[in-house]
Amino acid sequence: MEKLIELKNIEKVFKSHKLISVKKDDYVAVKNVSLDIEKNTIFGLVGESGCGKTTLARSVMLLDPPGSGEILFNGTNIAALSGKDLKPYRARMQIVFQDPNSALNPKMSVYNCMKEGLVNIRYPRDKIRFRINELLDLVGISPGHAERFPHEFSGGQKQRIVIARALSMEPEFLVLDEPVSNLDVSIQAQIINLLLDLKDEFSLTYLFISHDLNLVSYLSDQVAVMYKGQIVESAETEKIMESPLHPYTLRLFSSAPGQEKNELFEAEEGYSDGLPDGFTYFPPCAESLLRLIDTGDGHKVGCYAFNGS
Amino acid sequence: MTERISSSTLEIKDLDVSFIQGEKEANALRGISLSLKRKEVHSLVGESGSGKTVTSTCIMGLLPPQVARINRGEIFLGEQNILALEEKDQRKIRGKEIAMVFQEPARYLNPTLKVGEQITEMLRLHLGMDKGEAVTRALEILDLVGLDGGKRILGSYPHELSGGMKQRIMIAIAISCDPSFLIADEPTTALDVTLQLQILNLILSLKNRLDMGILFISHDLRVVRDISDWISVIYAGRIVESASKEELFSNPRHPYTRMLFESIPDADKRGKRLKAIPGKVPDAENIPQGCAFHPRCPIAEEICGSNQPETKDVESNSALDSHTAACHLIGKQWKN
Repeated sequence: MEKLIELKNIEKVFKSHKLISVKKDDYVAVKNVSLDIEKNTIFGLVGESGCGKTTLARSVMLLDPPGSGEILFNGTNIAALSGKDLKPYRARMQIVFQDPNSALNPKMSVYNCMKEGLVNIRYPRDKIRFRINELLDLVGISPGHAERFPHEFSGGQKQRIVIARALSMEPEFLVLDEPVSNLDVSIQAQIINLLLDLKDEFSLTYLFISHDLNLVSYLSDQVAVMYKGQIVESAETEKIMESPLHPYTLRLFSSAPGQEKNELFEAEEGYSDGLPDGFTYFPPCAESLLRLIDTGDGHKVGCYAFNGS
Repeated sequence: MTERISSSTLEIKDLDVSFIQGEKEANALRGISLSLKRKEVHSLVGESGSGKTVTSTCIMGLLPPQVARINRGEIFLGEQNILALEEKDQRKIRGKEIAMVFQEPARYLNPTLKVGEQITEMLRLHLGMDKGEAVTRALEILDLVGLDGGKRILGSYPHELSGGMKQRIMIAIAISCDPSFLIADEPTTALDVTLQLQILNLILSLKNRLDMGILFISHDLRVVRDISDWISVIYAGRIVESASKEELFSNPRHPYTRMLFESIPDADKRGKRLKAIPGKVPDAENIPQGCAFHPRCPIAEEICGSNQPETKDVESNSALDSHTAACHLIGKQWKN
């Protein structure tokens, strides 16, 4: 399969900007993340809050450009581009945020809100209205409601509008940052079905970020588990669900509600039961870098100490 | 210590609550009945705006009196109708007999008071302890909710604690007076999965230790499946189905419950489309005539749009448990 997005050693550090303080208080939000996303697949990224999921997504979108590392989009390193060279890529990747209320400007009608992007990419002016109606229809919003304002829609409808706006750029790659977490259970399924339909219709590629393991395991082709800014395990969904290897993945999976074996997994020092030879995970030492090691078939596990075999 | 009234049941009968704002009237609860026994976890599941939180705040007597109106209904704690009591007597029950844990601990802890003061306040008020006794008891309770370093925690402010710790403090305050009933209103929604499991385990272990009855309010069916004995499903201010956990999950009868189960994504449904419920939850100002679910129901008939269905007993898989549902078309063939 062809790779659409390749991330190489992405790192994002937030520096503290205290005026007088001598103490360096840098916060490493994303540490040495590498991953590949294949064309027309869904890549699921799971982790608890504060693990760096959203920071990584914003880095990929170049909303918060990464401190170091490469982002290859179809083979081009877009992290090194700027200004005019970057602009065409901006349209090819779009993001859908968690909270549609803050993603839509309350003072702009849906039509104006969607028009902005189209004007920006020099879409023929006389065709804009037709295009917006078409997009709204696509996501299940009546085009007659285009003049309404965001507060006149329900949460699920607002999320549909945000998706339509993202699609107006005709992107190839869509980052979905917890797109259904704020919605009601019965509405979640509607949005998920819509996303799946759109993916098939326009051969889109998704980076799907969520804390909901059940949802990610339903949707994704590939899953990566993130912990404290690093990817600790990544594999095809079936593989990682059947045989999670990393202690953190095990703990995360067994705490998900609705699991039969609902026990809290306590990671012990030097835990190594049922793992390939040469692997020890804990204790993670602060200086050492977590390396992802392929255990075969693309199932990668992060490991602090690999005795090399 | 003052004498205790230990009640063995908490029963809500036909509770109907409206919120009034100017001309508009939102009928948030439309005749809800449920009963809760001690040592039992009864879950109330529903989507946002279905009336879950109104139910809990009404039990606690915390509805804003300026806008809320209780149209009818009774809440019995043992033999006593607590809605008929004077505010002064209600206050004796609130926090002592029935306690509550809220969704967002950060919003319900006072940021300007040390945690210790917030826990001991309850003990001194309800149990008449002096300061020394209260602190000793508070330390015991912190131990019970699994927080070590008691003295240090009593001396800290809420912002110094993590989200999971704050929720443990909320639980500590709630159980400090050894209540008969605990209302947990989405206690884990704001927490991460690993923390969620810890808090759920804590609530269950406390239930067994203190013989509490728990009214667990949630929108998450998976969480509910893990911890409940009995489940009631609420939709637009009415309970549409109520049964024991095993019965409800093996034999859901109301179309809403069925569709809710089918719409949850999980690994088993990979590659298949989810069966989404069309439309949206009605808001409390415009509840459809007849059965509130009929505009979204795939098997609705003419009668559903005109007559409100009564809550009826339906056939249960297990002879011991009752199973009730409010639908005109219980026997109707369900096609997938």
